[in-house]
Amino acid sequence: METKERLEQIFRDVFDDDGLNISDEMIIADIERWDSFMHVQLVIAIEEAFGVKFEIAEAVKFKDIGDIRRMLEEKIAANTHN
Amino acid sequence: MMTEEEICKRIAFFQDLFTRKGNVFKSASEVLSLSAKFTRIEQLYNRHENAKSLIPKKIAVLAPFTTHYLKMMLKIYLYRDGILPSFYDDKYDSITADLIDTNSELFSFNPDILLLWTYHTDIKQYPDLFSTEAEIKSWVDNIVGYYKRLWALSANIKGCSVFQTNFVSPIYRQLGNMEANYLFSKTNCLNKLNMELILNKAPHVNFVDVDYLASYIGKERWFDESSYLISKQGLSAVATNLSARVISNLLAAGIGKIKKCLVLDLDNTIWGGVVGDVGAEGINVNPNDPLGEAYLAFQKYVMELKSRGVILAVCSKNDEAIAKEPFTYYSDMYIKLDDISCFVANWNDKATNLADIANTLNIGIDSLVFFDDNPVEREIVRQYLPDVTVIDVPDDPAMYVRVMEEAMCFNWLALSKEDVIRSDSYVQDQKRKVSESFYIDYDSYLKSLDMRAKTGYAGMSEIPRVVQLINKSNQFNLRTRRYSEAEVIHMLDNPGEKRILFIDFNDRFGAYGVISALIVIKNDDTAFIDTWVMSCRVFKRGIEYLAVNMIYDVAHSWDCQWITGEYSPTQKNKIVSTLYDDLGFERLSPEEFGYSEHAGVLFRCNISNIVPKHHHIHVESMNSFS
Repeated sequence: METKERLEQIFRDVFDDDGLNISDEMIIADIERWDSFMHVQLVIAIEEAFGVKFEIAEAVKFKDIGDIRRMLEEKIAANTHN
Repeated sequence: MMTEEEICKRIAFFQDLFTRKGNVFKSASEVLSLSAKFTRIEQLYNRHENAKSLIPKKIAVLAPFTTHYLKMMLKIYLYRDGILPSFYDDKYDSITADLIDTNSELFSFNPDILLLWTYHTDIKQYPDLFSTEAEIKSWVDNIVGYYKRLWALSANIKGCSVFQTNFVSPIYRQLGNMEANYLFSKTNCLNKLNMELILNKAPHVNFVDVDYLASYIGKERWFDESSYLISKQGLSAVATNLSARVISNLLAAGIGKIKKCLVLDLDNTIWGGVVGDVGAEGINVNPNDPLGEAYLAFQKYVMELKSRGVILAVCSKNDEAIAKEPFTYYSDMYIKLDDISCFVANWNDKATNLADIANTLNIGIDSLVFFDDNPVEREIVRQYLPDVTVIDVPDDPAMYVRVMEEAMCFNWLALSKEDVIRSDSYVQDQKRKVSESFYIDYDSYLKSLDMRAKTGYAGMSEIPRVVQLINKSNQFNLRTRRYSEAEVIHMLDNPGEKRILFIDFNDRFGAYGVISALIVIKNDDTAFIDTWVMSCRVFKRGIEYLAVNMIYDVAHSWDCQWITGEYSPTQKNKIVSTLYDDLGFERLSPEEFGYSEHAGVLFRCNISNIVPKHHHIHVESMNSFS
């Protein structure tokens, strides 16, 4: 599955909305039911699903879905190179 | 918004999820996600019929970091373990303030459970380098004194039990490896503090061994710096998940939901090979073979469980004689036939056999843990007996001990003398049964048992066992009211109005320890039997006659005219449904009784009508009852 599709699954699960569609241009804060607790839950879910760990600076700027996808793809690529 | 159909579907999903035993919740994010989804329908869920069997508990979680995620995860586990939680909305980092002010919201919340999460940063000043032993001791005493004050304050909350984590030393070490060499290192100071807290523990306090949990998953995974810095979580999500599971387990033990018996398969479970095919000489329990050694290690572990009071049973698809052969053929197997309280080897299905085992041992189906290498048998038991805890046994016998540890089935709150002798007393029971067959009538059998009892008012030394009986007894339990240790200790304050009685029992085959407890409450001219429980292992010995004589003595000492009691029916206490009738009490309507909240059958007896009951127990009374 593409990173974007896996991300979409996670978003649907965390925000409890099966109809949620994400796009690179979206900002997490635009999603209904978003709050800082759900934000942390989202970070935990993504880290767990992809087996990655975000640095503080990354987790803090974790807002734009396109950014998240690009950060993830870089990390996954780095993991496969090691 | 969710549609009505979505809501119904979701409620059904959680109803199913919560009946599944074993480790169905794997990862931290899965549990968080389930909790968030459950929260949306929680109120509707609680209106459903199946939520009625849940025991409500008010829980205050006090920690020096955000407790949001811990509470979210706890919620899911608690519902599964039979508890309906309501959480106190704590203010971050205000443990002392909440407890010191008796007008605080915490006091008006009146929690049943106070979960105190300690953290290495709670301590602002550690001993200096080169501190002497005396200086370290005074540092420890000072902190222990602080917790003793907190415990004393929490004792002002009626019926509140405290669950407090021990300290986990942090991942960083000022002195590196040198920490191990100096008493004044932070690591050793925290170790000493943990030890001193145990020595000073108040009776209503239970420690949660998060230090073990941290070492189990490793400090590296226990702490998560960015989680702390970003969202003030003191533990990683993985650590929070594990802790929530364990704490829920412990709170469930507090309401009597514990596992008592380990049911083992034989072939490829406690030895290698199938004895029916290869014979006793062909099975593998060879200490010089790695595989044989693995089975022996498992046996040794099982025996350690047995010696702390876990009852052992066997359930094997075999001919009985063949199944028993290896026990006599090998003298160096750790498990002996005499260690097994109930040995079932036949060709019936295992669900039926497990039900029989529970029945023979007189314990609930939900107190069984099933360990079988065959996945088909496990699936059958899961399906037909969902209340049984089924262990996911791996293929490799080297991992048997570890999966048992990971399942954490036997997390009791306290160990009593009675627990430790229990697993033997089932074997003694078999001997009693053999002896019973020699006697023509039951009365002369009872006489032959040489039964002796010590009776008295329970004091602090009997309280832990009395509390255990109150919370664990399901069958001989007239009203099934559960009380925490703290609540029972409160009752000791007023002997003029509340009396707690106990019976310690033995016979010529062995000692049982304290097997019965009663709480009698004075209400004007009436002595009300609030609680009357007895261990299922001593039914039909005439102990209830001894007990009713004790009740009479208490009523008499209070100058009461009447003794009243109640039978509240549950699914498990049918055995005592006619107890009061048999003892000569008359049935009452609720109006005559004067209490309206009672749902059970009410009984009364005028004390002038009581004839002391005859029994064959030689009684040594610790207190003068009259």
